Amino acid sequence: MSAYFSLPMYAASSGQRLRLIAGRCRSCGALAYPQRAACTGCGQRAFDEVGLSGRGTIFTYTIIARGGAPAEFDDQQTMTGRIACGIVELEEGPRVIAQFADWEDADLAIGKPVAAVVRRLFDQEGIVRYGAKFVPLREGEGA
Amino acid sequence: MSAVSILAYGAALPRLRLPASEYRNAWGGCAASGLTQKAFCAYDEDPVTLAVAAARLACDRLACDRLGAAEPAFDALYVGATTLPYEEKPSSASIVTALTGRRGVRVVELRGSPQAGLQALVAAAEFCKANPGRTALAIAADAPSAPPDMPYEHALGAAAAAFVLGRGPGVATLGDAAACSLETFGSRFRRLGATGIADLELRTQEDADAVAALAGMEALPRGADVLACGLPPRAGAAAAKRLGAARADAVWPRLGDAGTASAAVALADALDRAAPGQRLLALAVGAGAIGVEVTATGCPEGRRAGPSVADLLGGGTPVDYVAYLRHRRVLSSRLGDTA
Repeated sequence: MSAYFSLPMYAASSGQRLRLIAGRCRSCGALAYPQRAACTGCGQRAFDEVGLSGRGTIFTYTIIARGGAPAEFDDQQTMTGRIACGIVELEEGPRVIAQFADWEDADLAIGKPVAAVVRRLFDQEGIVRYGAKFVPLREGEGA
Repeated sequence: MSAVSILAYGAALPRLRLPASEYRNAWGGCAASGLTQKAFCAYDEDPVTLAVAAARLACDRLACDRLGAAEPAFDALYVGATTLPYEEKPSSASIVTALTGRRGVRVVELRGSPQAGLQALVAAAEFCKANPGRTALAIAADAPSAPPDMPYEHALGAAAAAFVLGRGPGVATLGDAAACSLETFGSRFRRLGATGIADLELRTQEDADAVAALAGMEALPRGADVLACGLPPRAGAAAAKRLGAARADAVWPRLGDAGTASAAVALADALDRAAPGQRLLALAVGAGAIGVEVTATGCPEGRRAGPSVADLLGGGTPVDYVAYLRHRRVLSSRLGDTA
């Protein structure tokens, strides 16, 4: 039986997906999220793991309308309509590509505060992928 | 030996709400008498994601850095849920990985009935008693489902609540617990592989029988100020009377039936409101019953930071019935059995 699913990749990325674990370069201190083999700042290959706060702001966003989503998101789009995704600039610096959750139109604007939550990303081959999405931080609401 | 304390707790509800009026519009009536709305899972939520949200709130209230540097330091995780996505493959491994990078955590899943949430709380307390100095995290999380044409589906909602247990100053102490088991199919059941619960629709009084059986047990503490059960108002009031509690909680009309999480969210709500010294009796019913005494103590700084249960119940976004069916994957031909 063949599978898209890779157990080694799944295991290696679980901390990244579920707790936003980044790599901090031992040479220059730059943060890498997602983690990489080499530092984009200095090219060194030694990192320490560090957890990111999950708090940030919307750097940019887009709406994926009907028919524009990758296959693993087909069902989500059919059932929920539009999918919002974008880039979140975390308060520690890294910019993360992710979906938004629990959003309404008024929540989506560049610079608006968001926070990471764990959600189902997609189901494929009977396996539920959990990972970080970002929810709007509305006035008077914590996260 | 000092009592085991609830060091911190937290609850989580999905954001989406289905008003009871949507059942009246769609079906001509809502079978969940007294329900005003219920909280239910969005397309990308399930008991695992709700469990993580509740546990993060509880751990944040203990001033833990939830995402890395100083991770929550619990030694065991007990999860009570009937609707985790896998029969085999511990979903609790996903939950614990979302909370901490530590590997040396004992993970236990309890299932079988709506009792499983409080069973997780009691089992976590017993872990702490047996292992002085250690802490345990107990989570009740659930999103029960049933076929949409079944009347008992109307009440089914979703929620989670988490409790960090250990020694030391907390928000409450855990007292005696009592439990009973009944061999019955009266309230509800679900066969292996089925996603929705079934009900023989015999209109029996199984839950009342379970409460009566519990009331007859010597170990059960009496005279509580509040019964935290998450039951519908009439059943809750009857249970409170039978168990000698002054009154029952009132979360059900705005939450619905959140399976194992109902009693746990009701307990969190009661703790939100409790004055020091107030005695609570947490009760969960389902083919038997379990009760545990909880006595509120002082509340250290920050232990009620963030949203209260009342805040969560009062918030949310109402949607219509078709949106509800779509989010719950009832209309999905591809993933219709995976909610």
